[in-house]
Amino acid sequence: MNLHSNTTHNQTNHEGINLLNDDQLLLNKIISVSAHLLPAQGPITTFVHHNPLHLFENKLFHQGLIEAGQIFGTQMYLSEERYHQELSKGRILFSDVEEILKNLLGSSANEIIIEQSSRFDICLSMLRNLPVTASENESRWFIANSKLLDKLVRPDATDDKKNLNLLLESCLLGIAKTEIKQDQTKPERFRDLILDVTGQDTDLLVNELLVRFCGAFLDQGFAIWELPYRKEGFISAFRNFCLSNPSLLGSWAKTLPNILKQTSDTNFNPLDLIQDSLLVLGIDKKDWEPFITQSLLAIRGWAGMIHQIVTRPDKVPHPVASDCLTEFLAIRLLLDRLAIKKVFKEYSFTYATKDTLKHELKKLKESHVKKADLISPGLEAFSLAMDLGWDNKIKSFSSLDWTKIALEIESFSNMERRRVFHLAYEKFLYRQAIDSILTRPALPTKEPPTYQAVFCIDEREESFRRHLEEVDPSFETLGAAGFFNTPMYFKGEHEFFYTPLCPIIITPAHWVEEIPEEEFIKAYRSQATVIRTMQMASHRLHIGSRGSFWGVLLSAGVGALTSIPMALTILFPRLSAKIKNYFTPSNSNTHATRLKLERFNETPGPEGNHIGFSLSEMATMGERFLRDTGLTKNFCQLIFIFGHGSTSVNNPHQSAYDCGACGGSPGGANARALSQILNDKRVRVILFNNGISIPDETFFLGGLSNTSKNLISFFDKQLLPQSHSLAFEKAKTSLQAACKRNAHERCRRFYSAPLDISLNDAHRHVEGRTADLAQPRPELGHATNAFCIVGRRQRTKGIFLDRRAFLVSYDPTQDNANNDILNRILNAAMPVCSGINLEFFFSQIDPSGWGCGTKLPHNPTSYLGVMDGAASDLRTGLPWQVVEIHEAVRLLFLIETTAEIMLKILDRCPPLANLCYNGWINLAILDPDSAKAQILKGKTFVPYSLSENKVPTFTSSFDWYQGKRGHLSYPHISDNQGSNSITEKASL
Amino acid sequence: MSRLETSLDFFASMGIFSPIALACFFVLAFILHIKLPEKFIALVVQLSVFISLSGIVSLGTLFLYNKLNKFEYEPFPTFHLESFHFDFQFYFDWLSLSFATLALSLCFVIAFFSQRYMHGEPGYQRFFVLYSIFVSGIVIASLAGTIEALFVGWEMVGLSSSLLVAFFHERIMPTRNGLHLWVIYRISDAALFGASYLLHHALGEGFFKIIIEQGKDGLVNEASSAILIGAGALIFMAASCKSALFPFSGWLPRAMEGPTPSSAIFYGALSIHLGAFLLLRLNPIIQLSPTLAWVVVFMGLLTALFSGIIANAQTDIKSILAYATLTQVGMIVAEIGFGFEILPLMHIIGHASLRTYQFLRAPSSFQYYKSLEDSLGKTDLNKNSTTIIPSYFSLVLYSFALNRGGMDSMLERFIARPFLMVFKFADIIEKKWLLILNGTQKVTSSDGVTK
Repeated sequence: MNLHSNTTHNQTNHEGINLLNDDQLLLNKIISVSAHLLPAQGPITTFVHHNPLHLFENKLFHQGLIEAGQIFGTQMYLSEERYHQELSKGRILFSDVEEILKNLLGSSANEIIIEQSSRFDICLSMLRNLPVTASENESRWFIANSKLLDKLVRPDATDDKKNLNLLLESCLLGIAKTEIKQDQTKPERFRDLILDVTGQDTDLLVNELLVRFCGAFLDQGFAIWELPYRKEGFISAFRNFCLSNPSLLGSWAKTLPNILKQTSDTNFNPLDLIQDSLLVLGIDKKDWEPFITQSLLAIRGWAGMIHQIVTRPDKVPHPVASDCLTEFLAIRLLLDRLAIKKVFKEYSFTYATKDTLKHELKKLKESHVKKADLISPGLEAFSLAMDLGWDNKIKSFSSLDWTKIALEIESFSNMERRRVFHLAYEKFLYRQAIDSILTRPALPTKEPPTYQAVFCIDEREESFRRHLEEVDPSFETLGAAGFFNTPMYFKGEHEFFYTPLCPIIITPAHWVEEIPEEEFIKAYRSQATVIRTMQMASHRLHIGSRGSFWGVLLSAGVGALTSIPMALTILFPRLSAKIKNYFTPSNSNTHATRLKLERFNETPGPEGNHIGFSLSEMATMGERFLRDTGLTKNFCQLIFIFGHGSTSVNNPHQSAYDCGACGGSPGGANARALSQILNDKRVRVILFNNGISIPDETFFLGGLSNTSKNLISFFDKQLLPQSHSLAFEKAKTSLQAACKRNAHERCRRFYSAPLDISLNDAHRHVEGRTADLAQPRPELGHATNAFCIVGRRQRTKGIFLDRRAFLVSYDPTQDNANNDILNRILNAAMPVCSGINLEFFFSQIDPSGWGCGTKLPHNPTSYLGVMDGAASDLRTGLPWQVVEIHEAVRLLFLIETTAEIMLKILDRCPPLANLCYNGWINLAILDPDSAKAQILKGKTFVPYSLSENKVPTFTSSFDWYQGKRGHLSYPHISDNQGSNSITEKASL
Repeated sequence: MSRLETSLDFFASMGIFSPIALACFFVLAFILHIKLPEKFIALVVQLSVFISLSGIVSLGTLFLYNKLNKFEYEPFPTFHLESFHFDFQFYFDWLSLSFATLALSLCFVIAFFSQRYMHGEPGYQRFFVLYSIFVSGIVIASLAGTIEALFVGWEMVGLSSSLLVAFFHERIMPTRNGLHLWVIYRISDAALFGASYLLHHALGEGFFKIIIEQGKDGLVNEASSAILIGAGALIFMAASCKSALFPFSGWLPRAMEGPTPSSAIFYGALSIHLGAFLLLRLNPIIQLSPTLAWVVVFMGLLTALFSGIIANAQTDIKSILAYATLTQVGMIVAEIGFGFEILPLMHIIGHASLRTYQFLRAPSSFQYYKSLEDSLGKTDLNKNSTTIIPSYFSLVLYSFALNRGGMDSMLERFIARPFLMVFKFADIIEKKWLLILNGTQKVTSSDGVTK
């Protein structure tokens, strides 16, 4: 086989660089476009939520879903069965379904189709009744059988039954006679054709080899040996791998070494190999794009990871050469064609040569006809006839009538029906929340707060804030993106590497280090030595136990002792975690540390005096934070700033639980840095000159809130002035009480926690989950997120939002004429929150197509991601255990501003306009001065009208959620009168 | 019957019948489509394994207290046909008691693990049905006193293992790999069946006690020692399949498709050691022929060597652990071939505990490596730069390792393919004959490809 069959078209210039011909340029273009369809998930240790369909954001939501569904072959809405279940659970109202249908059909709704049934009637009837599905053979058998029965029991058969059979038969026949064109798309890849015809999956052969090789090629440190020639690129490494031991390859790949030998030419271009494969397989130029896209998507996880590493080489210790994706595709197509040949040979016992293969495949493709599915429209028609009372007149239907009916059924397809349900599903949810926000009675005027506490906007902090306000009304809470405007590379004590702590779209320009206080250097050093020695020893033991010599000694000698910690951790997870913590040196607080925050050199850098921020940078960051959150006056004596993080064990997806605004890491360091900045007297002077006057007695205290254990910790407590310690102790008590209540509220979602669990048990329960090796749901992450409310806390305070709302503090009265603050906030919050939301959305809709399936068989691979079991595609997206309780709805942004301002901002930022106008998020505005809302429909805002349902009021969150597992509505929580009841009731 | 014997009988029946009763109950409920609540399932599993474990432990205590060495327990009347006996007898001695205690303790702990790990999984009940079959199987196999009893336990372990590999049957790979395992296990069963035939032929009955008590020297004097050596070879064959020795190692990494706890207990701990245990149990037969013993040593060391090499190139944690397990199993088998008794047993117990723990913690790898790298200040902690130098030899070694020694493709090429080709050829011939007989000219084969 000559790889360079078309080198004649190639022109080689003097430097020996291949100039690409037109075909190759086209191929390059196709590959770079297709690459963007691949999953955009990088190494799993920094899990960043993103919209898996980000490439489709410039299309309308529904249209984007239809197109994506065709490309990816995944589900795009929940199944009709699921929607009907939600309907019966009351999470969808049929009245909403009707209304949405009417709006969608518009003026054509009342068009009479047949027998006084309008289009609206027909569509509604299809929505009301779950479609009956049956295969062709099943229905034939049924009809034949019932005819037989009729014959046998004719004298006794009731007319009804006879009529039904006749009706069914005439519906099936009537529809079958019509010539409705059905979608006749043929699969792009021959693998699908061959699988259809022979039942042999060529991908099984190819993927087994390719997955194993990709794992070795991309490995970032799990394997002991490195793949030889890895740095020279995919093809080169693959060639050397195959040629060195050709006899070990499967028999299907016998000719592989010969073909690969030709790739060692210095002028070799992977595009030649691709072209060659396209030629052998006989792919026409017009089919190149879909064919290549589908070939890349065949193992999209691995291909996507190659693309990720190529585009972001800084994220991994071992980057790969820049055209690896093309090389990967070349090898993929080469293997595909060998596997196809093999299957052909086995099934026809004729050896398909280069030329015959093409023709054979062409014949196969042409002869392949997807059987038109005439049964399900027939069954639909039957159910329509029953529902709409056509039964008596059905005999008189002409073939034109049948065509009309078939057309109606065809045009209101499964995808359209699910869309209607989806919209109704959202409508129900949104209405409850907006109603509750608009009807909340005005808060009683109170004394100014004693404390302020700033949390991340994360919806998991919503309940913490609510409980804190319930426990101690002297707290005012605020929400800001959890990196608190201090983007930085951070290196903790006992750490060697910097971690970026900021949203993924920002690249930090500054470095910050945690160092021990001068007087504790000695303690620090000895601790560091202990930690290093222990870590080294444990790693040596681990590696040793895997080898042969040390393995024998270790397993025969002391192996049996491991059963003790194993039994302890499994039977008593919480206790063993305590024991372990006791013996972990880095957890013992032998000494105080501080952040090296101030830079004494001009240029920022990771070493020495380059570390840190300059004074003016600190002031700028601090000021922006204060202005964004609207915290520019009425400073309390003590202001807490809480970053958040999550603890879990045995959890490859741990990073997905940490702070998204910190790039999937815990955000404690940011909170600590910000409070240190705002406590700085010199910063305060600059702020004062800029119009923000922070009183001298105000002290900022950084902290970390653990969302899985529901614990809080504080940084730099030793710096707290003596005068504040009493207030601090009091605040701490309230915070801890709020933590407990928060844990209690979370427990209602865990089936293994009894509904009548007490406060203390609840706290112990959530803590136990985080230490449990066997726990696939240490916490539920961002599950159930549905709203993002940008505005003053005053608007949402006292509403039970069920941990479903991102809460961003924004004070419209403090924004400038240009609305720069809102613009800034939305530019960060909209992409991040909608990314989280849409990742959950799709992972819930198709858990194995968009998500990574169930966690249970996950197998960490190549230090990059997880596979299902032994050799599967790299699984991207969220595991089922995380999205299980999520409701697949788009995020509703509720923004406290006016319609004009909002439209102006969308005009200014095309990416946001794409998201909002195309419906990837829903947008509504809350009028800053009145209890009115408007919803974005198309490109204009229309007033929202309150529903008649009255929003109930409870005295505490506990009174409402106690004893309930499912999704709840959002009642008002009246001011603190009954707030202490929980302690009495739940601590029993 | 003395009081001692009564209590021994009682504890033995506790140990053996508690899991069997559980398995029967679960299978029955499963067949009748009775959906049991999660908590109930977990509770009865834990209870039954606990009862069984306490029976075995009490028996061990009685052994210690009364300075017993062995005890035979025969729950069913035997079937005699002239000189042939078919017996279902259990044989308790230190070896079987230790292995059963190990198996049951691990099963007990894993039952708790799985209760939480499998929570909410649609296949929760199915998992525990298979789990209970496995527990019964491993108890029967480890305590078996006759080859018939062993065979029953052996089958139950094999069946439940394969079905658990195929646990996530909505995907194709688990079912294929489950089938792969099932085929290898069938070879093992066939070999064991042959061995049982030869044992009966040689000894007239399948009692292990004859072999164990007469020992190597006693057996040499048997008239039919040549047949016994044949049985020994078949037993080794059966054990090789079960313990994934060379050249059957290919199935072990494929078996990692099930949920993590099943991978841990089956392929880190019990199933994989069952072959070695069998060799240890019937060691006198192996030692009967020095040649056979050397073959066992050689194959054990070869397995250890190969999997030691292969493990270096694996990039996913479960395959890495699978080959690490295999290295140790190879060493254990070699120790058995050398005729050791205590060492392999200790090795099995220690290794099973260690590896189970490592398997269970496999999902922690990312966190583990990250914290390790951060505190030690270097990446590539595993990489050993001296072992691999870019020379031709290291490249050959590497591709040997990444191809997993080509064992599967070897089996495919020399065993599976010839079989399939013969069948396919027969299929074609049959069709051609049918054409002639029918007098039809043009026909498309059943798979639709027009010839």
